[in-house]
Amino acid sequence: MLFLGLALFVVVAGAVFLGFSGKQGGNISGLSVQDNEINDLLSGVSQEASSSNSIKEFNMIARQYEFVPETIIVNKGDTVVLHIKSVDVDHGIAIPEFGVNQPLTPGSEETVRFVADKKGTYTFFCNAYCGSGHGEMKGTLVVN
Amino acid sequence: MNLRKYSLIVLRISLSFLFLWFGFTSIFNYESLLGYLPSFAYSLSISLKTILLFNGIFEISFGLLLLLGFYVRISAILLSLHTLIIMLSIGYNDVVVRDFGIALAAFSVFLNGEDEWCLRKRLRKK
Repeated sequence: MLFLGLALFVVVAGAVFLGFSGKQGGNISGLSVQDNEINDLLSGVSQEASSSNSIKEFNMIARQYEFVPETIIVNKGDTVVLHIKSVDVDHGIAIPEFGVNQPLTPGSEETVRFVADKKGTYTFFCNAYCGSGHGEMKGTLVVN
Repeated sequence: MNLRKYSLIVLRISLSFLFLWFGFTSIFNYESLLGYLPSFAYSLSISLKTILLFNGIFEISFGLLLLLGFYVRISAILLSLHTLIIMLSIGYNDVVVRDFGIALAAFSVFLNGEDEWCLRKRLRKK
C-alpha cells in the first residue's frame, strides 16, 4: 500500500512537473496595454445589440476581471454574434448551455456565434485562469 | 510538554476541513468553480454541473474518512493525487503554488498513516 501510494505520487507529480515545464509563463504572462488604448477599445463596445434579421452582434472586451458589457440581452431564436477582444492577459469565454468555449488571446479579436434557442438567464464566465479575481469574471446572458 | 504527537492530528483534521469545504462548494456553489474546469471538460457528454457534483461527492467522502480517521492512507493518497491532477489541468499559476502545498500535506498524512486519534484505531483497541 505504502509503496503503491509512493509510486503513484511520484508518477503523477512527475507528470505535473513535466506538464508545467512546457506551460510556464502561458497564463500569467501579462500584456501591458496603456489605459488610453483600453479606452479606445471600450468606446467601440456595443452596449446595445446591432440587430438585423434576428442576428444580434455585440462588441465585447475581456479584461481582468470583467467582461464589458457585462449583460447581454437577446430574444429567443436570435443568432448571437460576439466579437470579443482580450486587452490584457489570456482569457476565455464559456457559455456551456450554448456550447460556447472560446480562448481569448490578448490583442486578437475572436468571434463567437451561437443561436439563443432557449429562454432564461445564463452566466457566461472566463474559463482560462487569469489571476486572483478569475472566479469573479462573469457576465449575464438574458434570453427573453 | 511533548506536542509532537498532535502535529499530524492537526494536519489531518485541518486538511479534511479544507477538502470538505471544497466539496460542499462544488455541490452547493458550483457556479463559483465553473471557471476552473479544464477545457477537456467542455467536450465531455456530461454537464459541467454533474462533473462538479461528482467532484464534490469525491471530496466530501474522502474528506469525511480523513476527518474521522477511517482508511486514512487510502483517503490521503487519493486526495493528494486528486489535487495534483487539478494542478495539472489548471496550468501554472499562483493557485497551483497553494495546491502544491495541499498535495504535499496530504501526501505527508499518507506517509504517516493512522494517528492516535483515528476513530478506526480507537475502535480496534476496544
